Amino acid sequence: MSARSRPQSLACLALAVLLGGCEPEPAPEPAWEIGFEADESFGALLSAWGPSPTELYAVGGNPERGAMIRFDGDAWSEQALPEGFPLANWVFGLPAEGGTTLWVAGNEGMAARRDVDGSWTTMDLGTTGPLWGIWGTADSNMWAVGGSIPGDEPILAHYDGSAWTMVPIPALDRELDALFKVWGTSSTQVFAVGHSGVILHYDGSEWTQQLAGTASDLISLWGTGPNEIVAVGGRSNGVIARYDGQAWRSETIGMLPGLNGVWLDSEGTGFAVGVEGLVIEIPAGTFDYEELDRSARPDVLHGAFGFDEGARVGVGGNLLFSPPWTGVIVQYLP
Amino acid sequence: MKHIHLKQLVRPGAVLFGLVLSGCPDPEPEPPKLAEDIYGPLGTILPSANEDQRATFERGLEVATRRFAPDEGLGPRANVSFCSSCHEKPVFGGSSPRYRDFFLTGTELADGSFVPSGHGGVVTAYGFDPGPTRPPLDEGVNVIAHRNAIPFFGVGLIAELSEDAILANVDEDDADGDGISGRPNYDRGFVGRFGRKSQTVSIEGFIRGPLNNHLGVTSDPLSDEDKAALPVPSVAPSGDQAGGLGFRQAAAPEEPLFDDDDVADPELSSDELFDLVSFAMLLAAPEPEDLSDNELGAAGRDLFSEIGCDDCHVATLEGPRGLIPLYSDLLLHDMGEALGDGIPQGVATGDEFRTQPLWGVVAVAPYLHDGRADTLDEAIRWHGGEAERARDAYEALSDHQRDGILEFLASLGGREQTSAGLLLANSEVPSAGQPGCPKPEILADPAQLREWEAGRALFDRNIEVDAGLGPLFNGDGCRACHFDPVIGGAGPIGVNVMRHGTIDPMGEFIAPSSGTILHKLAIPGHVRPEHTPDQNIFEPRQTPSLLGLGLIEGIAEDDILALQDPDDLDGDGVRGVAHILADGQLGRFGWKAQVPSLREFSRDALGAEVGLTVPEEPGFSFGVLSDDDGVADPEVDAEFIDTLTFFMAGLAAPTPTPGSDAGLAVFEDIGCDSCHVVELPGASGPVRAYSDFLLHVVAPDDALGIVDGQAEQLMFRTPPLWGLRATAPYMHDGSATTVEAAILAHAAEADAVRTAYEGLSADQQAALLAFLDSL
Repeated sequence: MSARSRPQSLACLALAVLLGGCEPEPAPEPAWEIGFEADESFGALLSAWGPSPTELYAVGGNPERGAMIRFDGDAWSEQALPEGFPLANWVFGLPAEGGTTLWVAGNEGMAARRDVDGSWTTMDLGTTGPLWGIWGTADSNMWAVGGSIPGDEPILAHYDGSAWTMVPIPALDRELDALFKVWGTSSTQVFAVGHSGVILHYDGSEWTQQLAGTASDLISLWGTGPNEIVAVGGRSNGVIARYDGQAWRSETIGMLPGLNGVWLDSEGTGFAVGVEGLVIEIPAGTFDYEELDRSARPDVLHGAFGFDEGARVGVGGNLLFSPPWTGVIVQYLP
Repeated sequence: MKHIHLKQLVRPGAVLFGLVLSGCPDPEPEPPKLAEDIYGPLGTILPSANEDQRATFERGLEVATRRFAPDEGLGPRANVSFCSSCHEKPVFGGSSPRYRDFFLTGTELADGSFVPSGHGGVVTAYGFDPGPTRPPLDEGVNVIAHRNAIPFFGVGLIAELSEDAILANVDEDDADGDGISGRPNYDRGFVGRFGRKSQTVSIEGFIRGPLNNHLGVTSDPLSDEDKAALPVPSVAPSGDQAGGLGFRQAAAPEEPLFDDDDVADPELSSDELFDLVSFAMLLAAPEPEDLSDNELGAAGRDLFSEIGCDDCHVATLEGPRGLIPLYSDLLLHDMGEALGDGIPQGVATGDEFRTQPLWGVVAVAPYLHDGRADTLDEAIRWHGGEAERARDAYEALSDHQRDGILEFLASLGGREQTSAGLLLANSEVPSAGQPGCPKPEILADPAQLREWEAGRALFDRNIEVDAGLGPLFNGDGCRACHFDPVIGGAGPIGVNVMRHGTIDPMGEFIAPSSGTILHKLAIPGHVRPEHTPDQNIFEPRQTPSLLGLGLIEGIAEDDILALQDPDDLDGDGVRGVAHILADGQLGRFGWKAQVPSLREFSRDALGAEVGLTVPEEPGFSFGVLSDDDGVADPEVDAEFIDTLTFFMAGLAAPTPTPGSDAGLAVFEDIGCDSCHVVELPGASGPVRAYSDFLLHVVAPDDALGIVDGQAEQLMFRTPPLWGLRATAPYMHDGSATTVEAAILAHAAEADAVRTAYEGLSADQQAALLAFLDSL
């Protein structure tokens, strides 16, 4: 239990004593808590992913040095990244024989793959821009996106198992500095979201723009399948965008600050995090939200991940200040 | 849409807990009272401020008036060079006349979304990197919205308001059926309260954003420690602390800001930002007048309520100090298509605007978000949308009743500080020897002094749209450019006039058919012109001081012509070309010596800079005779021009401070006086202006410039040096921040002199600079 949650328990205990006398203390309800805090030597956390609640990874660091930790169901512990790997912006994994292959996207156009045996392969995509997102269907079919804001060129790159290739950005109705995340449901149903509300779709042969009625930055996306995808973003005001398999719709949610990370369970219930330590639940199929937690405030939460069993983590840090950053993880572990 | 807030979930429980504990109902709480100790004359500090805050307030005012130069962080794109440029009416901390208007811009896309463009959504007038330019509009821009700056009076009190105080007036679905459906805007999830669309929640955010967008000055967010020390508590709460959700001054934009000029970021120090934010937070509220002896105003107050003005302009909101009489609900209202600007901000649509607070409103004309209304009456009549019913009711009132409402509005603070320009009522005439004083003979003659003061008032006045301003203009009056350090003085970078044109492949200058001035502004409803892609030369012109111009006019032409040496017959490398105008007159005013007399100067500037048309007058050829702004031409008469000219001609020359003979000796020894001729005979005695009033080339050979009459691309008139210390920046384009930088920028005809300066000892250089500073 974190130090921050202890006073609350003491208060509950005192209340129980006053009200109940000798009643045995019931098992504590699961609650959101600060699960991990990192100082400036470690940095912030930007993304989390894992195959199970007992094998969960979070990456981040500071601009000059990336960092990774793992949760084993009980505690977080530091893991090695490749030597000299810069800030790690995103982590994604694929099932592999005997375990999981991890893919990490980082600053300075760097990506890395960790094989089941724990060995790392570092890949230089040949660009100086940051890679913000990485996703794929197989180790031979990976997509990475990125770019600086303001910047020269957005980055959209594909890995075929042997080399990364820069893919031209399709014609757009607006200027685009960067793509922030890429995610999909199959090799022919891939989406990338980014700056100025840009949404790109890949059908297996070409990328095209899709419109959602927003020009706010879209930071992240997740879905349950090709007919239910949620993207979130906004800077000053939260934005939720939904794809139903046919079209995107979006809403600006004034009462929410900017949203950065989103994850959907198999029922379509969304879990999103954002500025000011915000953690919300987005009921399936809606643009509604219920606020779940703010315990990380005033830090920014950047990445969200969860499991159908109920576990949720939001990762972030004091990312709106100049580095070196500090990091934080809020977690709900039923 | 269903939104659930922790705050909302907690409340019923809290109420129940209160009932259980107390048993019997509490006595009725006393209704809140008007806050005390919050009022002061416009621009003064809250009476409740402590000593530390008073010191901070003074430092903040210094930051607000600090002129930034490009080598101090101004730009690379900017509209103005100091914060209070846009917050000076009627005093610093206020709003702005139209010459500080600006434009927001962006592109509305096919899917209905809006992408802001420009510099943080703002159209900029000046670019400094790599060379001077007018930054072009971004490709595809299809929305340009006009903005007039808003006042800061009492903003600290607005910052103190709880979200509940604002949300109490929300009626998003018009449940009460009154046609008014105010709704909040949000910033980072918190109820917005600042800006034309309530798009900003914190004063820090409301300062850092414009500082970057309008000055190009970057800043870091205030640290938590600094925020905690601000006059309005602004510490971000941690975690789920009770009450943390309600208070959002801490929700300023946290991102450090960067730009790509050569000055290290942040360009404003944290201490300066702290003082600036504190200054704003500490500005007193305008004090409403007691209407007990003002029958008209009291009746107007009742009518204001009866016809529904206070449905949006609610008289008070409850803050921690009591009721705050700002006359605004701070909510968004649909004001109708005619006022709509097409700019969505937060959840505000293009037709929605925040209810503008009305305290001090009489002193901060023009009105409405784009300053389209010269008067309050006009502003009311422009109201539409949700305010249509109240507007119609206002228009249906008798003249006397409408006067009552206007009288009531005028009573909401600031009346005594109201000015047609920036000169406050009963402003004193500077005494002899002070900058901006009249010549001694005027000071000694009450009749002349009255005429001079009338001219000064005209010079200072902000010209209204109804009086003929525009359609294109750079300043909305003469003082708009000439105010440093006094009315009639020079102007900072942010009022530079932009000249432009095309240099063809042969190096020849081609003037645009519309003239070389690229106007900065247009009156609402008109479009500011942009340059075309083939126009590739931009030359800002720094506003020269007018002090002493009457004396220059008294110099005989022959005395100037005697100094010319166009073929450098004496072989000293310094030529000196008289600018003989088409009608044979000698030009002596303006950077290109393109204007022959002060009266022509008045006619020319009124037309070219203010957009005022002048009458045809025998013997005068400058000025614009007609325009298409809908106001009958000529928009000023000969008497107007005479009065204005009398004021300018009557401005005394800058008074030198005790100088150093050694500095003058260096000045003459190294040849500065070859062009900056120390003294010429004048109509009423010697004129010690340090100029020959001839054209010289002092720019490097590879420079490019604007041709004006006989003044070639790189020819500029020798500027007078009197009063130099108070007229920074220097050179025709304001590119030199210091006098020494200006000396070192001299080339061509001044090569030898500059080289000689560079060869001086440090003491000699110091003596020369001290001498120049003394002029």
